[in-house]
Amino acid sequence: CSLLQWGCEDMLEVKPYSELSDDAMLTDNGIRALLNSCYRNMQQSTPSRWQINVAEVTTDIGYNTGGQENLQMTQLINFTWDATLGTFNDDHWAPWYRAIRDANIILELAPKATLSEENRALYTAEARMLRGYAYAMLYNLFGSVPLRTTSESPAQLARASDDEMRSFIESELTAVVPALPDPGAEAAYGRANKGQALAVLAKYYLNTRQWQKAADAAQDVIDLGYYGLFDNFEEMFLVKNEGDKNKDNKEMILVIPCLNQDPYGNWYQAGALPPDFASSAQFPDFQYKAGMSRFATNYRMRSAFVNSYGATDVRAKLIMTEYVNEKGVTVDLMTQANNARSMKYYDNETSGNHSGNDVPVIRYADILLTRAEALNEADGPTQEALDLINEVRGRAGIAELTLADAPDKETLRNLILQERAWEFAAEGKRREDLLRHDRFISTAQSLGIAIAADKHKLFPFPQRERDTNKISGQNPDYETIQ
Amino acid sequence: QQEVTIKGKVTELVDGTGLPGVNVLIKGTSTGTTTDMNGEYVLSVPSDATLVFSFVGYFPEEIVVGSQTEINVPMSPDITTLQEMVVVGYGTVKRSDLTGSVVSLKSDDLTPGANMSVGQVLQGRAPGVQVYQKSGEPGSAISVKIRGISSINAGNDPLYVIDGMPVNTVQPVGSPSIVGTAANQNARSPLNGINPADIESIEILKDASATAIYGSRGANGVVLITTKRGSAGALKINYNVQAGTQRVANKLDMLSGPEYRDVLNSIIDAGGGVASERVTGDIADTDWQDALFRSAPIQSHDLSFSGGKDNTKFYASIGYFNQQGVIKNSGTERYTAKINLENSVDKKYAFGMTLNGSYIHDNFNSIGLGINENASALYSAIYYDPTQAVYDANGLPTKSQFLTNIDHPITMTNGQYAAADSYRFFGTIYGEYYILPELSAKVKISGDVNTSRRNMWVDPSTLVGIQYNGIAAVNTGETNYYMTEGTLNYNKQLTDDHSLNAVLGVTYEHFGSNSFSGSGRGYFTPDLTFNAIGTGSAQLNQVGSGRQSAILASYLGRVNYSFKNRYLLTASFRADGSSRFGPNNRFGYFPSLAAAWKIQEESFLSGLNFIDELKLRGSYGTIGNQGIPNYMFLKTYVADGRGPIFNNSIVTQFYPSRIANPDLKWESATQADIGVDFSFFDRRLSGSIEYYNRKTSDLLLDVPQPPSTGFGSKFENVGSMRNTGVDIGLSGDVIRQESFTWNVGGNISTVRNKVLDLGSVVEIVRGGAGNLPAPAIVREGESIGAYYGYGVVGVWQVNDNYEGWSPNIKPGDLKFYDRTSDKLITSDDRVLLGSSLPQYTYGFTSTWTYKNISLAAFFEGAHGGKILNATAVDSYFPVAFRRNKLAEPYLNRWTPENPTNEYPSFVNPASQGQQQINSRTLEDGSYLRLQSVRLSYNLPLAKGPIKNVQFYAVGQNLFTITDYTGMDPAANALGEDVVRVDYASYPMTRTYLLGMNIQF
Repeated sequence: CSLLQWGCEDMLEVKPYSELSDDAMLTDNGIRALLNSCYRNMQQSTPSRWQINVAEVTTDIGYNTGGQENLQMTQLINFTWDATLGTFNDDHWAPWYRAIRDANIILELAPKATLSEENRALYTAEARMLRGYAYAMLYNLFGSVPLRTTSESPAQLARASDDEMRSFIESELTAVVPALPDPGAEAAYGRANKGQALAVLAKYYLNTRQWQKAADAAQDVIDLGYYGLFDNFEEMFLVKNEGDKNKDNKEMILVIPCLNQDPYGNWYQAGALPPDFASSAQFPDFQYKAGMSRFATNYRMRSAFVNSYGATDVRAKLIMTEYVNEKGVTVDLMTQANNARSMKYYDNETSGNHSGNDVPVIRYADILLTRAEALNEADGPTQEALDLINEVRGRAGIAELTLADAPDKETLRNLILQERAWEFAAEGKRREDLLRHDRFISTAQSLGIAIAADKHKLFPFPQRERDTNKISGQNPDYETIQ
Repeated sequence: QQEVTIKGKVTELVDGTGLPGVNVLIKGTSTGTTTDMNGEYVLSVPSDATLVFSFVGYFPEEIVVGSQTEINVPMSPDITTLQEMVVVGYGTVKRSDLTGSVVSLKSDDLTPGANMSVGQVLQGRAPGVQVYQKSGEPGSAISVKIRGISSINAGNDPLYVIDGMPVNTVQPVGSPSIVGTAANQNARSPLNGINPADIESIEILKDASATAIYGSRGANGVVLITTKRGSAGALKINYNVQAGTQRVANKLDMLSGPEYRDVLNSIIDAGGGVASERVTGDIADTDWQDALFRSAPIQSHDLSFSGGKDNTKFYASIGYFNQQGVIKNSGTERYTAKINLENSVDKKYAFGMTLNGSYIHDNFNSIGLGINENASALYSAIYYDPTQAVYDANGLPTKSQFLTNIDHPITMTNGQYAAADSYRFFGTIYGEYYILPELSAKVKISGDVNTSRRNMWVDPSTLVGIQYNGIAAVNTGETNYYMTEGTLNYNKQLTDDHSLNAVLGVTYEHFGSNSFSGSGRGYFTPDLTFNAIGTGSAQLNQVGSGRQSAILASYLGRVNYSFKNRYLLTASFRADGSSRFGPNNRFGYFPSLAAAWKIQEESFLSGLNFIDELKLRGSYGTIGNQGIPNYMFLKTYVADGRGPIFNNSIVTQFYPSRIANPDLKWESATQADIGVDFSFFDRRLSGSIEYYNRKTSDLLLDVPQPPSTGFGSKFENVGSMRNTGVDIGLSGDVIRQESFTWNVGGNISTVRNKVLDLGSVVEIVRGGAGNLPAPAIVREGESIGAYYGYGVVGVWQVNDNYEGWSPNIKPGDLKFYDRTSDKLITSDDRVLLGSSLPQYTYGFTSTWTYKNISLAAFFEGAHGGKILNATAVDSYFPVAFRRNKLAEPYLNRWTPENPTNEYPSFVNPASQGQQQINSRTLEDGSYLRLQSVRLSYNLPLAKGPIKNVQFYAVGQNLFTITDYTGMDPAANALGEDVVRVDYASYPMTRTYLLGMNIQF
């Protein structure tokens, strides 16, 4: 239109040249592009360091000092956190909800889109699996949350009831299992499969103390016959042994894939290296190179935990207790309290902050221990439970357990918890393990955190949500005093 | 009675040129003559006569003849003359007939030679116009705010109109960064392509009556820039040259090497820090800021030609400006060319064109808001270890063993740089035809094309660069704009008592933009950089492009009516349709009404001869704002090339861009204004006083959405905000004698801002930078600039009662205000800590002229207004122990021997968490600054081709009186207008210039 065509109706119509409309998304490629966004929101490479730390510095295995991240980390260590702590929203709430947003749109557009019935069913199952997984993660951290199941859900939405939340997670994950491909048959490593859905379900049941269901779901994973422990624990986390590079690695059921480039890096290692780290005799294969970041903040492991490993335990070999600094001086990290470092994610090709090591979310070892724990909680120590545990202990190079070591449920529970701490250190599992057995608060108390109280079992809904969604509700005793 | 023949020359006081047409009369008679083309006259007069020289626009002069036979008279221009024409939107009016609030600045007011940019021209000149330089970086935009902050998210910059063409402020290339480096929050000014030397006048429209004719873009005021025109007569050539040097005006006072050693070691002795970080051995004493800063040259050349013959007039100019930055690898170089051409016959027709071209080359040093290695060279220099030498024995940069994640400042400034080349052409062509002597039709077509290319390189020698073996990026962009406009103008004295002036028009504007960017990483050698961007690692290459457009279509009209030249009435209207809004609300309507009463024309004041002007005026109207991004009403899907990893490689993703809002519409403001203009005692004292009240409604608010929706925010029309204030401007001639004059002028403005309503939004926190949490809060009932954080009430002393408090708290720790009285310092204890907006701002000038010498001084300042000092934050809550710290708090820190309440011991800074935003790190930003001093000398010239020669010296930013301990109380690294954070801000400079102006 121009000056001379003054009257025309669409004079003010402009095209968003670089953006797509709803219609353009209604194709196989369109739905898949949306599904990719959903996956990307689950693959939280950079936030993964926070997901690990939040679950460990609040417990008896992790610690932190220095740098700007310590601003938040001290609040987690000292149990002084409140709803304004940035990581709750940025790394634990918003990313899952972005994935949920994408899944909801996929589930609305897929029925209308032009694509094969086969793909329609597959994409729908993937979206539901990712959404169920996201809600399970949110439930783990925050309890029941606003349950958004369509893109039309009002912005102001109250948290669902505990029952609604639980039945949604369970029914969604259960429902999609048949429609998902078998492990190894998915289109690409990183896409959803049956094993992932079952493993998420098993962990969800375990953490919600549904012991029999947890044991069954774990057994379902085992029965897929696809997964197994990777022989070499020490090298299991190396980039070269990731599931898509080393076909012998059948242990990684669900991971956050990482690459050594922005913004896909695993940043945990940069936080674990001392700021003047040059090398360590414990890790002769790892060479520090200029260009690798060493954060001012230090991700540490607590001394008592580090000292609890048995002498032959290969898993302790991934914990650094001494290093050589840039001046060539050997530094014994153990002279300072709580100063050991996990080296699970070292990568010689680290670029800046970015290590390429995938972050394990659910490993097969976790499934074995999940079934063992669930069996013990349901029926007390059994040989089957011990066999499962001993698979894990065997690989770690420590003595197998016998029924004599675990005469009762309580003893075996303690042994399993201890086993899980050794096995999954720096993988962000400790918080839920302690919570499941009501030890989260007592552990904090025993570390001298006198103010640790029941309210800390759940994290608060982020203040950002509270400010914008007044009816969301809040976990007990977190509401801001005005 | 003897008759004598007197001859002489009447000249213009300022530039010494002859004034033709001046009336020379014998006082008390009608006998006399007028001066000729050269300003010369001859007249026979009685020897006891007194001659009266008068000329429109100049102060009259009376001279007793006595025994003189030659009387040369320099006449001083009366710049407040009421006859002067003032440019307003879509027309001009006589100054005396203004009904709205308009400040008019003529080129003579603008301190020739002291202005680097258009923004600087405006500083401190007009009441109600707050101008401050946010950064000393050459070419960075200056904040210009007319009457406060009227919008939260839709922008607060005034609309700039150059020779009738609204300036497109969209930047072709914004402030791109690569991996957090070399970003620049302070965008380039959209007016950088304009040479201040080409400006004839600037009109600042402040009230709704004046701005409503610009409708949806008028809410933040309008600045009309008129460039110079030629005048008929001989060719005039003007050449101005100036050159000078700049130095850093103020450094941060950090610990020196020995102080750093003593302070850090004694903190370790007291139980703080880490023993292994003790400062030992031989130490250097390096001032890293000195190592980074340099004195930098600045120069400019302006050459203009103007003249005309018969109906044709022209003005043409070329300009060159080169300002190096006080940090290496920063600076700006500007080439401008301009031509204005007009052919016209009064009341018959006019045809003309104006063309402006510019080429700007900008160099950027790293000025990031990141942290650690992603921050700027200056950030490194502030925090780097002062006990370390800049270079080692081999001449290589010595890197700190302790501060491994901030880069060596010199390495960084050499290794991270960006340069931009921008070409801009804009111009207007117009034709006006008089259908009747009182009615004309005018058509105008304008265009503006701006292309820019920005190259960036992060060298492998830097901490960031080595991660990828060098990072290169090229960003190109182009904005295009065109406008077509048709107006009808009617202007008639209907009867002796009634006169009418009206304009009616339509305009259509199109805004387009295109961008393309590419980046590469992983280079074999650091030699080719962005000049061969494809030579990096192929799988790390990234490209992107974008295209947008927007349309604004408008109808406008205005009527000025005058009765008995005493009662003036103006009514205006504009309807704007914008493509930025939803189909339901595309058009907005902006009416205004104003009235003025020229009281001095009333007979009851006729006895009071000292009153030259006394005018009461008032106005009311609605104006709008549409300054949001395009397409915000639409739901779409976008891609960013950063999809998930499948099978170890990255795949494409599309995700929903935003929540649709088809009801999105204009932000609108209603503004009431009442004012008095006055001029007394033969214009020795003149000024104006105004009060305004502007309420902005339907704020275009980027409303934070519940994160559980998966979206961050959504543009909605929510809430309202009020600005009220008083603007006072005064000017007076203290001494007005032939050879000596002294003029003082001043202005003061108050603004009170209050957020009235935010709808359902509880509050919005904003303004974070680097590792700083957002310090500001938008909350109903408070100022838009409110800061929010912890109150510091002192320092814990040995004998205080610690019962119930955390065992972490030790004597010497900061004592915070415990609002909730629960003996825990948590985010619930935060309180409002004042506003970033000053209570009042002011400026004053004093000009002395003695014969050929003139001295002008210009002061400006602000009272109140808080600023967050990021260096203080890092000193109170160090990111790393070995970072350098502000000297004052550390040298006077709490110790058992010095139990002060002023500063903590710094032994255990995070004992209660890290309350970074607190009443100590937020400082008072009040200041008084001697912004410029200009001394000039006009060479007395005999007749000849050279009309005038002036030499001058200018000093800028000569001193600042402030309690602020950071870099500068006006600094703002955020690049925005409300929240002020001094985060390793590019330092302000002190500039000394020498210049010469020659006119032929």
